Amino acid sequence: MFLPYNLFFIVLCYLLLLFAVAYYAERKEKAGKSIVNNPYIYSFSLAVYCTSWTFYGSVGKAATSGLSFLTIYLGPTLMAAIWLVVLKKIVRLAKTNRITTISDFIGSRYGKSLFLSALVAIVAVVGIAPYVGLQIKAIMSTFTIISGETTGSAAAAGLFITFILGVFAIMFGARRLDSSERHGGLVFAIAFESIVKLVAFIAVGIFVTYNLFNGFGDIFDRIKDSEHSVLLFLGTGTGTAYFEWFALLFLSMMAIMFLPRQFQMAVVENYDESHITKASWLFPLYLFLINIFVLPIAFGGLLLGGSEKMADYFVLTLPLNHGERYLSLFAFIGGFSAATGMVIVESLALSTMVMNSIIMPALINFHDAPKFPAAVLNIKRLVILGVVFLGYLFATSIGEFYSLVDMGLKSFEAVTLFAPAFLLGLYWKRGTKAGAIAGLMAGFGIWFYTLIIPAMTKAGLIDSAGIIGLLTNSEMLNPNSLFGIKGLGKWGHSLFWSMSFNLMFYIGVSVFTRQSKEEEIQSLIFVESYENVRELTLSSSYNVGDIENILAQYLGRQEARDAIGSFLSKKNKKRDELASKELFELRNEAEKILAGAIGSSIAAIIFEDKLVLTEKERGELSESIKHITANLRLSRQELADANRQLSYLKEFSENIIESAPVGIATIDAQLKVKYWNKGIETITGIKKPDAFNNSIVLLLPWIPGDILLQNEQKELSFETPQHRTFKINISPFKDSSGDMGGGFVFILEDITENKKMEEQLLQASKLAGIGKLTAGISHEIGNPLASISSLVQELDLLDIKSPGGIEFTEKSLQTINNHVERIARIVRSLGDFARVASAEKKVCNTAEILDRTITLVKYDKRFKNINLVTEIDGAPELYVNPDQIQQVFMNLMLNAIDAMPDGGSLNISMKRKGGAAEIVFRDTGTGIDDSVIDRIFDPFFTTKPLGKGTGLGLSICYGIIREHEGTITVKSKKGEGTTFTISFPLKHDG
Amino acid sequence: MAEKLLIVEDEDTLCESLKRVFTKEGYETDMADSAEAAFELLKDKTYDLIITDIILPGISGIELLSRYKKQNPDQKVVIMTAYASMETAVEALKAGACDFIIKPIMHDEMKRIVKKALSKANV
Repeated sequence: MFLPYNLFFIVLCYLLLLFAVAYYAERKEKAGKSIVNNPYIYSFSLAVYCTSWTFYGSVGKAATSGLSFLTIYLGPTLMAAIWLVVLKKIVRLAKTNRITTISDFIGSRYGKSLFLSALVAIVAVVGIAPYVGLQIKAIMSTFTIISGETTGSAAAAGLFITFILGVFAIMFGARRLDSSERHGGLVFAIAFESIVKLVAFIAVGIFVTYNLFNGFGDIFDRIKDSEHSVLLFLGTGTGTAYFEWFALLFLSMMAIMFLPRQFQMAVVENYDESHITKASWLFPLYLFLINIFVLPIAFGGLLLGGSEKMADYFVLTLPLNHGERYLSLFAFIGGFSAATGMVIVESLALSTMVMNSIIMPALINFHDAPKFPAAVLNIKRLVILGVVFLGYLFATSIGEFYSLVDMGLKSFEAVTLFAPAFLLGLYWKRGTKAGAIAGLMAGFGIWFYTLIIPAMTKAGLIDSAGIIGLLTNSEMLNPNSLFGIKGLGKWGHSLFWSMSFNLMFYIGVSVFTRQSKEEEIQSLIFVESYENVRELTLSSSYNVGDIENILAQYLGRQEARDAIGSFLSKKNKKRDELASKELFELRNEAEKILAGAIGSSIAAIIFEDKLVLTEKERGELSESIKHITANLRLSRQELADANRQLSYLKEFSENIIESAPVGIATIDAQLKVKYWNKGIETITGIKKPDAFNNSIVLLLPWIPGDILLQNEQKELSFETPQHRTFKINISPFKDSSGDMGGGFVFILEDITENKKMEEQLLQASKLAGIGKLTAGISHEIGNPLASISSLVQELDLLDIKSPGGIEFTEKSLQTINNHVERIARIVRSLGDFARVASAEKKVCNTAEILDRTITLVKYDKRFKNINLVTEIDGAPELYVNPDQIQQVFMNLMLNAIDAMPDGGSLNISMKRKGGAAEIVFRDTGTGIDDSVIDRIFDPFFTTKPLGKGTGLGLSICYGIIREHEGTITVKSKKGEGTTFTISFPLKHDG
Repeated sequence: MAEKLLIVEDEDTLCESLKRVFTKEGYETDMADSAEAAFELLKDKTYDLIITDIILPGISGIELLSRYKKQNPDQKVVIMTAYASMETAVEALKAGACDFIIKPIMHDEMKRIVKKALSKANV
């Protein structure tokens, strides 16, 4: 016996050792020297399958029902044979899809159904909790036995150990959030525990077989002769019914696949697929070794007077009762290892399931996204503790009434519910989400009704008198013999009905429901992945026909045949003569051809068949690719045409640039000339070869340097030392994206002639204005001239001596003199106006300019019908070109006169307004139509009949005023008159 | 009986001078300094020949010619103009003038034109 405290201390030490072992493995892992990444550790970690049930329960089972305990190990051994096919596929799928739990796996298979995965998670938790409880119960019971204490302190120790196990699971399983990462430390600790429990069990076995008895023969001979001889046989009356055998075998086959801890170890913690190959014989070997001494210990215990009831703990009690304290302690540690390993991994697997399938989706639904990863991690830790304590709850409540095996088998039955949806889902494409849900729910219902309800009734948790009692006591719905069928055995009965309903609903509903798009894709990923991977490893397994078919699907039959034909003729071989190396070449060739048509990535996918497409999508894709290739063939001709046109266009535009009458040059950021056209050669006299790659500043030194410093478009005119006027337009070079390329485009124009012509135009327009006045002026001059002429002719014939001759002569001469003066005045004012004035600006009195203009315009005969009013309010002195301003005034006044053929009034006012001088011409003429008022300043726009106006008057006014930085605006109303308002800035006062 | 002339001319000096010349020649000569004044005189007098300037204050000489021709289609009119352009001449002749005189006026030439205009009527 051990004192509870000592025992407790030993347990704690063992757990600390586990921590140390796990920590060591993790350190190695981080250092990149994994001690976990090998098939041996993998196989040992799989032995987490062997729990306290194996360690204690098998002996108990053997002692009560003989050989039937073996089914629990034969099942996994049988399954290991097909691991190479099934487990590898599951591992690959889980890895590629980052699947970490069975609930994820099943949910993912059926269109990533969240509901289904949550359902699986719930079934798993409900189904596995008793199993966890079983382990805790075992720890507590063995603790009681070995310490010889009452159950009271064991319960306290159980609670504490439960807590420590929870902490262990948290420390090695939930330190990080991403559960797809492996837990190297944990795996190593579990493998370590597997070794401990194996060695412990074998040690006890050897002790019993060879110390207490004289070997196997002795034990078996003696049992044959005892009352327990029946345990050596199978069949009716042995306590192991045939159906029971079948049911247990099947259940354990499923359990090795679908127990969450097995999935965790076999799939999630798998490092390398190749480990599976070795594990498929190492793991059965482990099972074989741990079972060798089950019968000897069981029979030994019975022979030494142990009761069947206490058979569960023969492993512990036999050494203890025979004075081997330390061996019994070792056995206790072995059993403890078996139990803790299971509790830790199972709680981790279940918590991942609950987190991923229930809590995280809920968090994401209700709070958009988890805001604090730390909080999520803490929730996961709580879930682990929750699972462990749920087990504790089972252990202390229902556990009182059931044996270890019983509780374990309930869990086996529960996880077997996943089999149809999981296994058929891997190989049958038609399985639908609805089918999986229906099957699982039906099976779970049966499971709960046939196994849990009776258990709860037995434990007194449910009153057997109520409605449930009514149901359970009825003939048809008795949970122990549904529909009145008996003789299947407890486990066989539950298994038969839950599996029947499960399969029926799964297949039935699947056949009658349609898969969604997502389901269809997922089912293809899950069902077809295995075959494709096999094809991938043997790429040359494509034959010529396959390759041709693939090409034909995307390119069309004829193209495919041509491609294959050209390859064969190149190799000079016939279709069926190709060696596998050449087949591989052909496949690559075909991939290249396909890549040319549809892009390399898709081609690679097609040949490796990585892309999962539904049949319909495949059809659509190949149709569209055929369409594209047909278009491509057509457009090849168009492309050639376009190319021709493009080169023509290029030549054309180059010709345009070359023959443009302006100089065009481009320079780079360093101001070096990069392009120099003929126009600029002519203007500058510099030949292209001399200009190329030379600095523009040196070539054209008269270009004002500062304009090259600003990165914006500029246009300016300037006069060269050779008295030529150039207009230069410089714009920064932009590439197609609009970024500054760091260069400039130069457009240089010799506008010397234009300038001259402009001046001439101005002059002509002035003369045209005068021309308009010619009739008036010639009349004005003609009249006094006619008077003079007439008087002179009279005087010529006059006899001065006649009466009044002298007086007439004097008077006539006086009159003639007056007329001559009149003529002189007119000629002077005309000269003032018509002389070619300098083009320079100077300070002028605008009132004087206006006066002069009015004097001239008054000669227009039509002016006599016009009432002219001038309001000069402090004539502003302006810095202007008087000649041009006078012309503006004249044009506006003549226009006003034109607008008033039947007379009217012209009001001219002049005043300061703010920083400007405002001159307003308001007439009461016909006005300007709204539809043309926007165009009156346009050159050549005129409302006058053909030949009466050039259409240049107002546009010249506009140009002149703009050049003086002034503005001119017009307001007009048809029939009421027009007002022109000119505004000049006053700033140029010097 | 002396033939009657009406000279319409806004330039007083010229007008008076011409009146003196043609009175000396034996014509009975009246003066008007505008078309409006001429119409006043024509209300109760007739003239054998009207000699008018084109540019007048108010109604122009051409206007006077064409308006008065509507009342009296046989009225002979000679136009005076300082602006010697074919357009003006053609305009005047179209309106019904018998002849035109370009300023400055040579008395001999004018006398000949007046005589010719008057003698045309006699044919």
